[in-house]
Amino acid sequence: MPLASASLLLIARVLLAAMFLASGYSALSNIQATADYFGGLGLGPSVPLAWAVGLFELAAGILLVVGFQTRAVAAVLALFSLAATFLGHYGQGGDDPTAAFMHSQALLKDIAVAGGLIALAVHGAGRLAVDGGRE
Amino acid sequence: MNSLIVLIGRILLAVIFILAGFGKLTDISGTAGYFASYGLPGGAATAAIAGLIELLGGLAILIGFQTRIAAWVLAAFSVATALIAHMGWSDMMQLIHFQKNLAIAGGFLVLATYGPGALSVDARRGWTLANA
Repeated sequence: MPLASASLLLIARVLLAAMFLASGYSALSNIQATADYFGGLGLGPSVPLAWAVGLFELAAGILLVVGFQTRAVAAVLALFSLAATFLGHYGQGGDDPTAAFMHSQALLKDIAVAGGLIALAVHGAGRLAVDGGRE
Repeated sequence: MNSLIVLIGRILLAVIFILAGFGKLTDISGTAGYFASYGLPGGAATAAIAGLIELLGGLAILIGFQTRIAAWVLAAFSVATALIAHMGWSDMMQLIHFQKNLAIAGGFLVLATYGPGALSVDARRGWTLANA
């Protein structure tokens, strides 16, 4: 693999990971708010779930950036994204058209993100990664 | 098997762009007004161009036609959209959308690097990873 392609894949992994790193960090830095949010969606037990989701997002984001077990991590993260977005964004926003539009856009964006993660899961991280281009 | 999975990935990546492009092109004046609220020049012409980029780019990704070019264009489009429309980070939803746009761009860069796989127009026309 040419260095340019490997560099591009590193950039791609950072771009894909950023939202999970930010979301995981944000969830863990205010567990009660995260738990309340999950509780409001009818998900629980909300405090353990907040910890689990925050830790998962943070860990998966780090693994994507460093490119360790990239294919497995990307596959799991794709499924997580699809599940999380349907729970968090499908049919949300109520009667507020602006909020409903934001949620529907978020849903479609997460679906697209899952598509990108699936492509990464099939092909792997490239050689600028802990995986080092091993298949 | 892998080419089928990559096809699924392409479908997931393409849906939002096909829908958004179709939505813009069928409501040019509404889109132009929306763009004007962000200070974008060009009015209806800009709205039509953005809609065409999204619709044609999304369709190209879906069928795997000139996939690497389409992936680069939509990656740049996603980043540009984030920088134009999702900079109001005091609203957390805007920050989240900014991050999602970047992640989508990352997904397109993966596609631009590896190509669309065997289930694509490009593959039928002789494109392979080896001669990328």
